[in-house]
Amino acid sequence: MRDDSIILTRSDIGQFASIAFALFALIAALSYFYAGEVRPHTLVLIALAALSLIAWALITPSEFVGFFTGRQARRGTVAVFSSVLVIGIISMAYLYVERQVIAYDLTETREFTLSDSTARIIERLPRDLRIIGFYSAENIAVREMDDQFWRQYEVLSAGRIQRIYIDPVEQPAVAETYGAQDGDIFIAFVDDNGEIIPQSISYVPMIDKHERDMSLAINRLLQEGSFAAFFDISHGQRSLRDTSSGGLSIAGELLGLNGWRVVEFDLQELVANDQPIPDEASVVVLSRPRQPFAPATIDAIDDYLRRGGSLFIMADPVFADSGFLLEDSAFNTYLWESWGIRALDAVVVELLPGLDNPSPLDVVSIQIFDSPITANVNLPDEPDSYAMFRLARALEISNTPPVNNGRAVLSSNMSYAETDLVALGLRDEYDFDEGEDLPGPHTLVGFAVDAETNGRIVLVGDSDFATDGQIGAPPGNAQLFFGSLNWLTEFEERITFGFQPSAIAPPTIFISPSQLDQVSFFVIFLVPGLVLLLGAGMWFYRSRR
Amino acid sequence: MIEVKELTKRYGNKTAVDRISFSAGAGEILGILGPNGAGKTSTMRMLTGFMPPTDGSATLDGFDIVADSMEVRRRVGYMPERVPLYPDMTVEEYVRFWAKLRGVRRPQKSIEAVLDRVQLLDRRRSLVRSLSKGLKQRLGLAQTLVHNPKVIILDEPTIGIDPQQVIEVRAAVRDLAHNHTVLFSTHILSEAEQVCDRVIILNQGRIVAEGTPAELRQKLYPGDSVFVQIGGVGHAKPEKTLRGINGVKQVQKLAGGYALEAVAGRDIRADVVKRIQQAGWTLLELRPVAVTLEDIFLKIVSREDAEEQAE
Amino acid sequence: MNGVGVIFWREMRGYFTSPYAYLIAAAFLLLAGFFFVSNLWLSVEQTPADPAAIPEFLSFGMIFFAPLLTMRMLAEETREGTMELLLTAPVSDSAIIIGKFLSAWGFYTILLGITASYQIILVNIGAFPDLGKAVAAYIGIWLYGGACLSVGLVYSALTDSQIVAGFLSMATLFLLYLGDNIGLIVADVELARLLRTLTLQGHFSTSFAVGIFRAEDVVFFAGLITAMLFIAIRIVESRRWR
Ligand SMILES: Nc1ncnc2c1ncn2[C@@H]1O[C@H](COP(=O)(O)OP(=O)(O)O)[C@@H](O)[C@H]1O
Ligand SMILES: [Mg+2]
Repeated sequence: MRDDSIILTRSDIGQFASIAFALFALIAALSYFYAGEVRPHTLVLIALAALSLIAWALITPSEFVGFFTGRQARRGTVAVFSSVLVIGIISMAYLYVERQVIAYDLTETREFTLSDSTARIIERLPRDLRIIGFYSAENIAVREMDDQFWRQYEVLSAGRIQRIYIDPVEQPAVAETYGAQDGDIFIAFVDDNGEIIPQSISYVPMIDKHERDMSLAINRLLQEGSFAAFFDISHGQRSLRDTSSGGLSIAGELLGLNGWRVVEFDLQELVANDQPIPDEASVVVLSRPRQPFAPATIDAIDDYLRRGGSLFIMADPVFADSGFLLEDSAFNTYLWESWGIRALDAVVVELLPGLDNPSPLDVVSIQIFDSPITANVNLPDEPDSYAMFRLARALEISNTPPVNNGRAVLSSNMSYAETDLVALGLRDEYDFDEGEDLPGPHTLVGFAVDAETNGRIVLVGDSDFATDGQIGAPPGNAQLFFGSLNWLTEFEERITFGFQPSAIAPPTIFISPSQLDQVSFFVIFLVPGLVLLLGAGMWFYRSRR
Repeated sequence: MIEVKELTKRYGNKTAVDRISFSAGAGEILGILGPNGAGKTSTMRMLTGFMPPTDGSATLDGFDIVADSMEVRRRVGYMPERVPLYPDMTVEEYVRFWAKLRGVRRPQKSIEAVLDRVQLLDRRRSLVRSLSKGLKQRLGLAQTLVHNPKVIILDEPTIGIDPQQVIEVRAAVRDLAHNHTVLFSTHILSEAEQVCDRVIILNQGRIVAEGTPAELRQKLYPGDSVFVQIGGVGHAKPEKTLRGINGVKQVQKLAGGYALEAVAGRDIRADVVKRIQQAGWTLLELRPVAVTLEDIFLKIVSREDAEEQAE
Repeated sequence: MNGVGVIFWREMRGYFTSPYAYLIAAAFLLLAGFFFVSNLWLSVEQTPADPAAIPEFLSFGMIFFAPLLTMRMLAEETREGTMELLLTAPVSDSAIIIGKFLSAWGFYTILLGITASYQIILVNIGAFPDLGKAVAAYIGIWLYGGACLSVGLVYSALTDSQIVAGFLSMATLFLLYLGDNIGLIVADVELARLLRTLTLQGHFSTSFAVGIFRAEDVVFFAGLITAMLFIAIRIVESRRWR
């Protein structure tokens, strides 16, 4: 018979004290190693450990002496001490390994690995950077998820980027100065004393993927103000504020995300006041002006280009008698004479079979020439990376130009350019008329650069490709838009996180309902059912013997 | 084979086994006798390596039970008080498991041999849970024997099974003595007398007597008793008459007769015959009665109690 | 180690001959299948199928399955008295514990392997599972499950009642699980982070489950298993001097 009654003897209490000592000492040691310094709670733990040690010594002095002289020890005490020791060793190993930051990203899309683009951004950091994250305890899982990325920035930048976390619940005043909500992230430069430079604090909108959002934000901070796109609105152009399918709001937003300053300005007013186009305009964008440009305006533009400015013209076909950049207009003549490029009054018709363009008037980037403008267009591995123009003008590129010029995007050899715009515009009729229409291939995007002044022009025979309705469909449109701006502003090495085909359209899966039913049947009924059957069979077989 | 010196086990403040020393030779069946709580199980658990002694030492086949525990365990077959079984295994699986765990090289042969020995060979594919109590006991025995241990330790193996099976188990244990040393505990004294070559009697953790059953009888209870059956008594009461016989110490009425206890060292048979004839009764049977260990035990225990009270 | 293999195979055999284990296996596969299919349903025409759907379910499910697989392992031996025989067999206490643990882990591995093969279905029907993520999630949940089983084993060693062992390990695992919602219990974010690193979820939901293989998570789970087995061995050993 075993005596099961529980009686606390003096030695039991002594043993309890010894266990308490071991635990407190362990936690104190760990918290010291964890924090790397003695914190108040470490002191409290040490005090508790000391108290337990004293209690142990007072309650069972002989065992206490016995334990430390190694003569005799209660087995229970030894078991507890050895367990505590094992846990201690494991914890140390854990802390050591954690500090090493050994992590492998096993995802096929390398979702958690910082890309080369980010590395290039980090290389350009003029001074050290802080990532400041606001997370409350409730948001701890989000913080840990984000931390997977932020700590990689630390590693990749060899410590030049550092992350700090602030609890907005505990430090509401700090959160207030940033205007931060729980979960918000900011970045800021630090000065030589390691203090955050308040003017540089900027909010990191978390929209899509961690790396893209953060790298864009850093990039934006890097070139804050250094690049400005001036959009003229005085000739009836498309507007950055227009969020309809014909507007430029997405293009503007993407520019903003990429660190551009985006400005709308009134070119006519400038000219009327006899003012030049400002130098701060890295590029002037003309997106489908509706009116012809006056000679004074052309002079202002010429003046700007001579100062090394850049011009991005997107010109749609004109079906009326008057409009922007008619073939014989003053501006077109200027372009032809000074830059060797011009727009024709002809619409490209693409007759290449096997394309999935809805109509022959939807022209795609069949041929591209290697240039920064088309760096991310028609990528071999990404079938969606072509650009598409719905109704595009044919361009002409002079073979004996006054400056360097060239073709960036061409239609196919099977295409031609319809010159009968009346029939096309009124009756939607087009047909190749020998002698009248112009056989392809035709230039859809052309460029010119004056090597002396470094003035640059990109001319596109269409403006719809950059509108909200089409800039992402196909994704090559956005790449062409940004490629053009990058080339114009001479920032080929600039990192642009435009629409990435994979980001916009992850592979979607199409599974027929009957296939789904089969999978459900197999996985939910068949497999568990077979296991049950097997179990029943086994039980029956064994119990019958 | 077994040498025990000053073996002591304390649970907290309670001393369950108190400096006991004994030994057992090869091929011997040694009985440990004692009431519940005497310390039999504690002693056996120390010898099997289940738990270390608080003090003292013991060797089995020359191996120390603490220092060479693994060697000792390899040489011991142990059947605890409550037969430990895995109800969901078959008989054969059960025995194979223990054979393998104890390092038997090619177990199949030993398994069949041992199952044959305990007459479970025909039930080898049955689930353990389906066996009767007696068969379970035999299966427990099979487990004890399967690795052919030098020492077999059986903790009250006849407890809780029916009389027929008790007899079988006793016979089996006697049979074991040919090849093994057996340590056998029981609280039934007649069983020890039947089965064991030698007996040690434990009480409250201490050895209170030791020897062969005959020696113990001789030493502790030299006086003989006789059993008489008498006919033609009528309505008379023979107890008084019988008690009056010279040398008779005590008379006890049993079913069908009387047990007469003699004063130490005296043969009372002649006097008994004479007196019965005198009374005009018929003597139907007269035979000597062996003193049982029950008596011996009662005596020892009461003597101890008396000593304790005297202290 | 002497005897680990014998104990391992006996327990394995035990699983495969016990109707109870088949019931657990069927329930395990049924629930895993359910979460697998429901993820597939949600993915259709939306995103690629998530190969971590089953591991993520198991990170919660193992709170219940691990105790079911381990609660009888030592409690039953104590109750049936076979523990006394095991402890007098010529094998060390650690061999007994390790053998039993490995067999529970092995059985779990088999079940996990069955669900892992469902990824082949995903590939075949064109659901584009990220196989790299699948590898990470499965390695993670395998270690995670091992850690849960080791906790279950400690409680099985501690008591001779299966029910008590099962209940206590479920409660413990539940506490250990609660990593992502630790903020509900503590307000201080640094403390929350510290506590979260002590939880199972803290080493799974933001690393293995999303396709990241971190050395510290491996150390955590391996360390937890080591510590739990060490404690279980000490508990069994303590029977000898209790
Ligand atoms: N594990 C234990 N803890 C405390 N006391 C025990 C334990 N096991 C046995 N005892 C006590 O030791 C004494 C001897 O027990 P035991 O060896 O089982 O005797 P027996 O087998 O002769 O009945 C009993 O009084 C019992 O209560
Ligand atoms: Mg007993």
